[in-house]
Amino acid sequence: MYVELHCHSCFSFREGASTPGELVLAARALGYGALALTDHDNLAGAMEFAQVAKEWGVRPIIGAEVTLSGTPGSDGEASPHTHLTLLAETQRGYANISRLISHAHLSSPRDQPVLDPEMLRGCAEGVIALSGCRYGAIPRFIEAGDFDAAYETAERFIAIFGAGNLFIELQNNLVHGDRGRNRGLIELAARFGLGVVATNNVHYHDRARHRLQDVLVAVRHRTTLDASEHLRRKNAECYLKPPEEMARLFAELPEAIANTRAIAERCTFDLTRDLTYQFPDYQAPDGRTADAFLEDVCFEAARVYYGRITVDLTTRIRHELDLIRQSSQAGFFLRNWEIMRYARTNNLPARGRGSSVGSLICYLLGLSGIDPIKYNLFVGRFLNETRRKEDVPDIDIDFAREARERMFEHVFTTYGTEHAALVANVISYRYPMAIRDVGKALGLPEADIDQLAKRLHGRFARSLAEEMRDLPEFASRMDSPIWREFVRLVEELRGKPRHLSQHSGGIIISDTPIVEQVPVQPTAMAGRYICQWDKDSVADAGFIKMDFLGYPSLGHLYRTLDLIEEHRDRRFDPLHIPLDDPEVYAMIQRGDILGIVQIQSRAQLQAILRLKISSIEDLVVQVALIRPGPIQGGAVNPYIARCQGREPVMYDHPCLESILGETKGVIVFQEQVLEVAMAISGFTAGQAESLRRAMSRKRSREEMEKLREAFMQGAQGKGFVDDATAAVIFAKIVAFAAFGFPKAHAAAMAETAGKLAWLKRYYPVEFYCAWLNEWPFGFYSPGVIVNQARRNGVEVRRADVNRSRGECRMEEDAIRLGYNYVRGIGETTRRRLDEEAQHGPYTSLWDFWRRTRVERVPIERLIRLGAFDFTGLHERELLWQLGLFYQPLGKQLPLALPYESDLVPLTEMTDGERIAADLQFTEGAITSRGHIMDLALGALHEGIMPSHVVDRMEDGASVTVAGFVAVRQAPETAKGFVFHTLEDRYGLINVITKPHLAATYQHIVEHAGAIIVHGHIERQERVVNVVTERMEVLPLAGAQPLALRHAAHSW
Amino acid sequence: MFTTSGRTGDPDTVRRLNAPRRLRVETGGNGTPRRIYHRGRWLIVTQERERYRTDDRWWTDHPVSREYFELLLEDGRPITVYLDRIDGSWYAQRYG
Repeated sequence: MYVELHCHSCFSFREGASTPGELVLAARALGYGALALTDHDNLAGAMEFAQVAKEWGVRPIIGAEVTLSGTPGSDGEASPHTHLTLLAETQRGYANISRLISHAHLSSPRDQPVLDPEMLRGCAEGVIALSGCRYGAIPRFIEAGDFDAAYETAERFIAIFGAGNLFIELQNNLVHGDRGRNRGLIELAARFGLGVVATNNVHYHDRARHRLQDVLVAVRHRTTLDASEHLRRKNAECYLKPPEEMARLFAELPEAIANTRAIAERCTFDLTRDLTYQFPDYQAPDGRTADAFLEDVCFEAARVYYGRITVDLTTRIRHELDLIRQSSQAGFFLRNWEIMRYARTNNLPARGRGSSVGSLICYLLGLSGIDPIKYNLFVGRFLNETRRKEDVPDIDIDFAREARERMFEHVFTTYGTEHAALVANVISYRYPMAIRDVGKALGLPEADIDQLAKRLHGRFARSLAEEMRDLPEFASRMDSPIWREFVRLVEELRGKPRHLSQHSGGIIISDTPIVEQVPVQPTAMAGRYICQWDKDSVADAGFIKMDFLGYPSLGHLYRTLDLIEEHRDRRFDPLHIPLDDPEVYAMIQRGDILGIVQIQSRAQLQAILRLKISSIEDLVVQVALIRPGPIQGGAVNPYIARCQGREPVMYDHPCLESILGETKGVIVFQEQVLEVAMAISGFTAGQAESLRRAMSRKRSREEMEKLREAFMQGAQGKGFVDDATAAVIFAKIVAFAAFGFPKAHAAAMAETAGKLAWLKRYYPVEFYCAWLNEWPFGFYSPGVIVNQARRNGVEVRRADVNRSRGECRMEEDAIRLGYNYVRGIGETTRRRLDEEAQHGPYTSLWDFWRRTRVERVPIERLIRLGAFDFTGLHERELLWQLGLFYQPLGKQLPLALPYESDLVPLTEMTDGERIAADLQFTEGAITSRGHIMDLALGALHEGIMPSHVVDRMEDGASVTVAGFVAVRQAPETAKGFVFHTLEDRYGLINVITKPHLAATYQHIVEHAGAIIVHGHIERQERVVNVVTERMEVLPLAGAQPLALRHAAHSW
Repeated sequence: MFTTSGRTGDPDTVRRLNAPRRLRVETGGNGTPRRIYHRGRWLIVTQERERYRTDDRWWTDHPVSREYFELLLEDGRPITVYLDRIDGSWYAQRYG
């Protein structure tokens, strides 16, 4: 029986056209007992392949087709790069293949991995080599008739791998030349006593997929199908063929088929079982064990944090220590403690996130910064009795932006590239890129493709076919063969991996060399390396991933504290900022929440205005409530209604009361998913956690059905609830599971939010100044932030070359905009300006130009922004003067003469021109000399309601509003609804546009910087929305069309 | 040195050179040609030298999907024939 040993998935980027799952399912349907995956120069899809294959009863064989640098022929000329197929026979073989691929990537230009064949010499143990496709060194020489070179190459490979581990690969893809080449290869094999083996060089699971493969080849070579005939495969034969067909193709050489099975049987390495990964152990001092040392560290910290160690505290610490001891993970916790000590001793703002925040040990080790006793946090989701040594929990830590960069540097410096790597992120094709790539390959008109790609870029776009049917210029083409083909190919390509990138913060460290566990490759950033697996594969491998995530709000918080210390000589300990101040909760209840992380979104505001948040515990629920999980699970409205007493608290089954009582009978926290699954289906904690994990991944319908069956069977077995109720509860769990917060995580987020709220309430100037300096992050553009600061009574002053610095800074109780908000002034120039500012104020434009030598364009912008107003000259006069400094080359150098004599009478700029200049030249459309809406005065007709009047209008009233777009959103959970937050001179207005109107006004919805909306009021208690009936663009006189793009946060 | 007649080509008189010629083929069990009808008589195929497939131009109005056979006939003549997998007919591929 035939086994396919040469098979590419779509992880052979822009080459393979089928996913590992598609290949496995096809193999299973064809009766394959085993299947190899041999992607080009990577193992990126290997873990996914191994997992799916095992799940479906196909034995996975792991390998790769590596690219070797050219081998010299008999004439001494090196051949082009060649291919060689390597299969992992043993664990050592897998480690060697991984090391070889790493070496190829690390020693070649990025994304062009080529391996020096000499490297094979030390890395052949446990590897079975097949001589490769027609681009292999031996087949190439045979095809070229250079038999001497072919034989020499064979001898070299035999010396490296051993004759028993080198097989001559025969491919009959029904391409002209296959027969002749195979005859030569068979002769060579006979001469050296080598085995022959049939392979089909599979590039897709099904014959029909060859079209996508052709497209991918054209895409890779940046050309069209018409122009790539010589690059594409000649036919559609590289699919996973039925074993019988392969046997027919090699009927004259049955041993080539028999050897596939023999090789498959030799390859006993199991990627899902045999990795040798080990987290670095911890050498405790004074000969103590890691467990004993961990205990000492924890109790010592407990004395510092709590003062007195109570019996309850001791019990909790010992319980967690026991769980850690049982799973032999003390070393892991101590390593994390050591890494985080670096952050603490270097004052790098950090705080835990995720389920680890529920652990008291993590708190005591400084890994979370959140007291789990205070929030009554459950440790079971993070540590439980079912955790084994290899099942190490994630410890995720948030860092301020710069702090995170320093932590990466620290880890790479400490562990080196042999033992540390970042986790990869697989970037998959989405509509716009798929449309562009397929369109170009098919040679479709660029303008049409551009139009479709832009249309499908919108967050609320439907499928390509639906969008095309709605466009008159495309609807008629849907019946033409090429456009039908286009739609089909785009849909096939969508979701397929395109390339590897860096995960947002995952890093793995390993005691055993990481390059032997998974190949490593460089990233675009010098000194950074990623492994070839994404977070799911890393988790399946049992690697310990630490997540160092960037969390700018921590930077915001710590910057605010620094400013308070600098200007008021008071230092607050971030751990002890009050979280029970009624004044702070009164501010939140008023809806004054901009800048408070986690609760500042439009959706959060709407919930906050209906709830009475008055404690940190309320804030913890609030943070977790407005998430896709609870929203999709239908939890939000019942929760609010139950809090308000408008609806009784109900449970799907009485046994859920103890679990969901805290959240009024609805699922808000991830821990509740586990507990509900345990109560209803009788799952253990470990099974429930597996279910939660499984559901949080992208799963096929078949796989989801498997999970449902397990849950329903469990429920039937327990006999607690009937099938219908169990089905309802399962549906709620599924709806929730993908995007919900654990309570521990919500507590961490809520605590940061609470601290920022306190700082906003009592130190607004510092709060806003720090926010501007930490930006970009969050929902609001700097223009909106500055306008909000002003409404909160904080003065924000325009840039001034004698007062501004690189960053915004405080002047008494006002904020002075920094050069970081002048477009086109980069970090180097900012540093130069900061240095020069120490030499005293500038006396004139000439003085500034002479001393700083800043380029002309930034100086012009500074002039336009009013940064030279101290000179007493207006902008046009200054621009004229600046022009005189720049003499044509070869002329006499300018002298420091009084330029006033050269001035000509020039008119002063209007207020409108100044606001337009602010919009154009400040980062994020900050206007310092008026409001954006001043530019719209000519278009604002009678009957347009300002925001403060809209807030008081009755439900159902007709209304027209106008404003510039501060935020536009179309979250996937909103099913096509679009939400705009408009800002006028007085505040913010929320606008809701239904899907059909969003489609009608798509261009305005997606692109307009300012709009007029005609509609009606929808009022629910204090929450007011304007529901769109009609929409038009609000023209802004003098504003550059693109300037407002920076004013809005989109999607 | 070249001279030209000064005439431009008439599209009505342009014809493809070496256009494939339809022919009758008798095949064996595995789809391989056994006999070919050539110039009024059936000739036995004595050797199949090469067999290959082509799938191309599928994105155009004239897709190509062919199975080629390079054969030796009983009279010693080599011939290349193909099965057009779209219209199901056999053709002789002529060269030069």
